[in-house]
Amino acid sequence: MKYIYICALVFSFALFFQNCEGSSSSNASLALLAGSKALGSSSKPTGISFHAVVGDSEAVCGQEISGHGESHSSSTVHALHVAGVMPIGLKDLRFYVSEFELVDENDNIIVLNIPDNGTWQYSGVTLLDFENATGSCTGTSDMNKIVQTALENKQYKTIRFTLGVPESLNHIDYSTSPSPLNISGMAWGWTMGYRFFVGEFYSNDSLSPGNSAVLHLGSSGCTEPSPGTYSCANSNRARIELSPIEGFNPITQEIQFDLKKAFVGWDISTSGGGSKSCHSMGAMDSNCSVVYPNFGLDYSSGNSGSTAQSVFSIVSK
Amino acid sequence: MKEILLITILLFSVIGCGSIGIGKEQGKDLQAGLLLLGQESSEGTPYIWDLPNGFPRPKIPENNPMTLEKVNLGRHLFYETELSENKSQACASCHQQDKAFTDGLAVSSGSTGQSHPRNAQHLSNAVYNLRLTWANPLLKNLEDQARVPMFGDNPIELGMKDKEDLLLSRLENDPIYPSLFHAAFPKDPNPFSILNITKALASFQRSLISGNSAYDRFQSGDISALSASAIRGKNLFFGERGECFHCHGGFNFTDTILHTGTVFEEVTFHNNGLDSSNFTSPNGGLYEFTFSEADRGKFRAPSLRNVELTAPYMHDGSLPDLLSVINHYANGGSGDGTLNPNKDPFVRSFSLSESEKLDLVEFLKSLTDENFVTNPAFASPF
Repeated sequence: MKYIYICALVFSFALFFQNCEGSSSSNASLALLAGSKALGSSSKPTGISFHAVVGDSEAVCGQEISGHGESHSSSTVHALHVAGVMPIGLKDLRFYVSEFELVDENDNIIVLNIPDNGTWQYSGVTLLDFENATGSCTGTSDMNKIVQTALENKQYKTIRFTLGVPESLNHIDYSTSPSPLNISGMAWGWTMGYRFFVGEFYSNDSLSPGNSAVLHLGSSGCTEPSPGTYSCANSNRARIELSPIEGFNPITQEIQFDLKKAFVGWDISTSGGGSKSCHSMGAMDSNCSVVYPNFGLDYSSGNSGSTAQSVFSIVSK
Repeated sequence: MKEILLITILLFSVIGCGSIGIGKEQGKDLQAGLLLLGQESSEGTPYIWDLPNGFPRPKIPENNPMTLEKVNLGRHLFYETELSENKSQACASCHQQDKAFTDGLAVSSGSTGQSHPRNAQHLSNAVYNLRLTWANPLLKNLEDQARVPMFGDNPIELGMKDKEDLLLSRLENDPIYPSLFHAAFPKDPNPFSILNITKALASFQRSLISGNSAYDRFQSGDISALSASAIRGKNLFFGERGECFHCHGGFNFTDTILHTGTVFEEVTFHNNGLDSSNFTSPNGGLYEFTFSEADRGKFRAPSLRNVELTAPYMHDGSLPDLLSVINHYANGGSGDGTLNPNKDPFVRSFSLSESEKLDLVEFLKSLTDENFVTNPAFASPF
């Protein structure tokens, strides 16, 4: 028993330093590994990996993304959503994820601890960033595709997480907040909150050049009934739950986000209506109701779970 | 059991880090917090208000006391085109002094040419505004508001979203700014920050006091300051026929005021009877925040200080001149706005002769403050 406590102490020190100095410290990682080994588990410092695609293509900046859908010459072209039928150029793809839970084979719910790391993770919120400011991408050169957390190498029945920033953090002052809650591209100064999801791309199609798709998810209908206390009519936080039949092992598998599936229902070809945008602003944003269900969200209420989300899935690493 | 232990340990390690405050970002934050707590007059030269008669003392956020140095830095930044990504616009592009800090356009145009849905606000006595924009109940101080034009992308105004580093490096490398920033934030080892930019901009805007119009001189006892026509207009404005003062009352000619004597903050937005076509996306007004149909088309009653210089009028710039505004209210609204269920009860038709309308216009013109629009302290330093 005493041995376990010593190990726990060593382990927690390792994590402590990892949190405070950032995970890049190799000493901290080694200490963490040693701690894990001493504990006798097979866990290692790792995390929940994410991967972004557009159909069959990688969602990357700096190049034309094509070959991910039906040919442009198809007679049914306008019946299809835009990301599937035309070459696109990514402009932005970033989103906050939080409130991670794993469900093991015995239906135990494991709430994942997401340590602060000074850059991508703060207070349980992680920014995933798939753009690097090259080509048509705006944003910053840095990218992040992992939620760093200690994990066991085992199969889980289910993984759940929230696409968004919890309400308790959604209205903090972003100009003085720790990273990643201090990024102007993710802040929504107008509502004193954050954009939970930012997905934007241009059409590179010769018949509809420059047309764009802009999707920003964030809580809306926000007021401040008493000073410092905010209330948002529509939370617009998608609760994502993935339970693949074969289970989910975070060491060998990752979560895939498909931009093509996120934009199902929008056609930004010139004949399909041209540029479209959704800024989560209620009835004034008529385009939103088409794409919200792709995230499992009901646009009129902002509630999650009314439809099955289709944008996230589990794939092998 | 192992899981519980693991979670406990993880929690312990995070709490340990946070409570000591040596996390990478937390450390910085703690430092900033201490600096804020430590702010006092030694932060710079205290700004001395020279308030017109009848003006209450402005309420200034405790974490951003007014200093001459901050006002001076803010004035430079306000006129600085480096604040826009393509260097084409400054705050002053849409807020021009000779127009009481509006731009003379129906709706403003951002640095990339994108139209704003709203008419630019004038900045006369902005320090007294309880809320700042046309309809946003959440923007309460100028520091927060400054981030919207800088970083907003719907619409794009200055276009600096994700360009914080670019903005800061531009200013750091400009020969004039290091000394201005260090003077404005002497306790900050590295004063170049977005927060300090917004603090300086807010300080300059708070200094924009307008209270030397003909009307003010009249109120101070110079009865020759107003023409007979303007005095007739004044009586209509404050009388029960016009009832303009309900929404445009007090020393600042608006109904939402903040100063050191403010105990109860009354925040009001009104539907002033414009045609419903003026409330279509993205001009829903307060509705954009409450999602309540009853709030559709409700906007803040702006101060009428310098109103002669701030045409065209209304949130969308749809009324070209003061006579059109008076006709709008005398008619009890415009188009289907006269029957709008959200319409403020004080917007109801009343009869005015044509000469009375001109009297009212004369009175409104008496709110023009020539000193305000020519004061070199508010002008571009460049």
